[in-house]
Amino acid sequence: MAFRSTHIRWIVFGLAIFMSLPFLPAPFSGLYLWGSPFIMFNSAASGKSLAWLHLFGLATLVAVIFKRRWICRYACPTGVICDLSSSARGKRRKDWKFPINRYLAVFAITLALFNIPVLMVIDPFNLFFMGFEGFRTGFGLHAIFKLSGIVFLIVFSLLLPHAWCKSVCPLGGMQLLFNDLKKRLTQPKNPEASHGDRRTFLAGLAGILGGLLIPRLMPGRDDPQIRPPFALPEDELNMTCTRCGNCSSACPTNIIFQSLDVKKPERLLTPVVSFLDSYCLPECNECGKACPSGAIQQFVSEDKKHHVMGIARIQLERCYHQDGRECNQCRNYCRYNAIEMKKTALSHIGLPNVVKEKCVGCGACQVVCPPRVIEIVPPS
Amino acid sequence: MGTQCVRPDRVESESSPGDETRAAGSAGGESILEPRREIPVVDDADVLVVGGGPSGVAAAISASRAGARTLLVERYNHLGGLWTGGLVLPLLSTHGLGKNQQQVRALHGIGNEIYERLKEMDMTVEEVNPVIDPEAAKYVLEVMLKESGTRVYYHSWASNVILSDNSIQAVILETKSGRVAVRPKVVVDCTGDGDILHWAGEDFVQMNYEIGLVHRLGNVDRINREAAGYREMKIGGKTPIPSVNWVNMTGREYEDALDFKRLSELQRQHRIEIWEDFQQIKNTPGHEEVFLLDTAPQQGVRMSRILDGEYRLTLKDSMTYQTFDDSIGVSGAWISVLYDGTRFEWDKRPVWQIPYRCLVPKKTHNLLVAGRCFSFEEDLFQDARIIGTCLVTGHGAGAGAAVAAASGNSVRELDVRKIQDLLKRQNALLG
Repeated sequence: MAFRSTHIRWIVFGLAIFMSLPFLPAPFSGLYLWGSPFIMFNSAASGKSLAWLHLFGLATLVAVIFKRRWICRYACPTGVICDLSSSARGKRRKDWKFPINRYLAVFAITLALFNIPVLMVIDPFNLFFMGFEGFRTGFGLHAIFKLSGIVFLIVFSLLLPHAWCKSVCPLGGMQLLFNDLKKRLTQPKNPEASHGDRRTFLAGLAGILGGLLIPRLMPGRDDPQIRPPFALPEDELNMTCTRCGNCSSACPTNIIFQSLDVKKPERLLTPVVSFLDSYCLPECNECGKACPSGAIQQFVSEDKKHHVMGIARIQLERCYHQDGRECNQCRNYCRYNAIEMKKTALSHIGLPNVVKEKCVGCGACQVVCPPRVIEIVPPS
Repeated sequence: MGTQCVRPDRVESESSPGDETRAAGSAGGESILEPRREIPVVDDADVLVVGGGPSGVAAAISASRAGARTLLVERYNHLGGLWTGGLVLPLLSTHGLGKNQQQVRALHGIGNEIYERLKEMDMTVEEVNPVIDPEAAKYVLEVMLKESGTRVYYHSWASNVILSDNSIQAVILETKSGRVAVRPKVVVDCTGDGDILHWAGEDFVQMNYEIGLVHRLGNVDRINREAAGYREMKIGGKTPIPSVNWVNMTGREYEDALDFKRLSELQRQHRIEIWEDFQQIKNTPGHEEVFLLDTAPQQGVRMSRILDGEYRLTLKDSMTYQTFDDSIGVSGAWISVLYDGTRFEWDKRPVWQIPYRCLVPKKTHNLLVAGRCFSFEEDLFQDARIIGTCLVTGHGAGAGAAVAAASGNSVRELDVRKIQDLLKRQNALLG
């Protein structure tokens, strides 16, 4: 059988599945996400970290100029799934009358310029990756939540075959916008252009409107959480995070979990930290490296000394030292010299005291405390 | 990796091999030259154990029972070291988690014999990590050492060694009869501070940690909790004598235990603090009859020198059931938790093997090291410095010294199986 260009798509699809498999090391699994120019643009427009890996997304975009919608044709694993479920409906074809993909893309990027890159979540690469990634950390509720995106697309494609790829997907829309631009540059006079231009302008206007309104509708920061180091402030994080779970997989000590608090829907599947089993290693910056959206900023581990994730709170009444028991674990394990033993009324008893200026809330003291009387609380 | 995260101060040693003496550093730069003098050799021994703490006693009993002519020198007037004289009464790490995930007894051999005798005398509280009575323990250790045929020099402070060809020719003692020398075939360093290995020019790591002074309170059974104005005070933990409690001192700063001037300052500070603490308790309604029974004769030095020996045991070894062909015993868990690099688990600390190489220095041919100064990485210190582990390393070093003395070989060229056979005959648990 001769090699045909459609084969590329299947090879890439296989590769994408392979890269999402649970046994692969963490940095591998997320690599695919960096290929999406939609994510790259959102992250860049909202002023979040731009990593060198984003060049990958830029490259795919440049390629679009030479080959119309080549990402849809060759690189999009979600497209394969949509096409498969669309063709399950047979030959009956009903086109979605009004393609919104271009406007969705413009709307999303405009929102991103207002620091609200919420639509990053529906990037097809992200939806695909999320669906598989969820199972890296077990078959929990979060995995089902994360799978729902791809399930939705399958159902959507069964009801309206090919509609997602052709008319809705903002990544597709973004590619079309680029082709429009190319056309405009090569064929300056196009009578149809003004029509599209007005709608594009309206989409941008809607983005501006949304950008001004959405922050007012968001709930306040009444209930702070312990977040991964260098995560954005609470409301920005909720809007920026793509819920991909890459940080959670990348964390070598498995302390990052995706929020399942349904009472706080705005933070569903965003990363939260739990120090029950381990702590945040001072020399590690894996979560920052793994985040494609910039919800967790890139950082060097050296900066962790000055970045406060939380602060240790000690219930002194149950501290081993109260009974003169040998311990000192919290002080011995603190890498930031943030715990000192303070003289009490009876001077032979020294009790631990957290030096607020030095504690960053890494959680080491919480995990090693034998009577378990230390808890990291979010910074106030 | 979390096993690297213990952070107490540490100072790398600057010692180099050689025969010259290495006295404590002079402070102001001024020094005085000691004239040459002849020192009488007052004794010789197959095995000379320096230090009569838990490790020294276990070493001496083991060597004596194996047929070695054994001499033990002790700077105070009692056996048991910090366990008795330091009033650090809990015999920690008697148990740990076995491979079948069941709690198993780590304490075997001579250490266990000591415990059994104390238990028979009703001088222990609790089965796991028991608290013992110091005077009963001094008595038991004395009797067992006597039965084994070990001779003891009390009030004798080993102050130097004479080296030749990387062998210790003599150990110098400061005594009431002046400076004397003892000629040993093999020396076991059970000084706790690693004095002998230091003078022998071995490499070590100095670890600064907290220093305390323990005391005991009497009449704690006569506290009247119904008294008007009664308020609960911190009066320490139970001992086998119902009216007596022992009171630990949790230090506050990392101290250099090899600085004699600092040790003296701390001694003064602690004595005053303890009396003032006791006055606070006594003046609290209901506590009128409580009295300060005693303060420990020995200062509670927790860490000082650690040998950099043939192998340095790691916290990871101790947490992962690491097995060693040359195991000389196992010790148990106490406070540290199981950590596999990503996940901590509470109350799941396994029993851990101690290899013979951890007792063997890199250069000297006839020196073994036991007690809290044996060779381990600093992260392991919480479990390596305690009484139970000292009894195990002491037992192993004593058996090794006996085999070395009988064969005449260097401690690095021994048939470890011979040592292990001897230890098994002495009821030690090797794995």
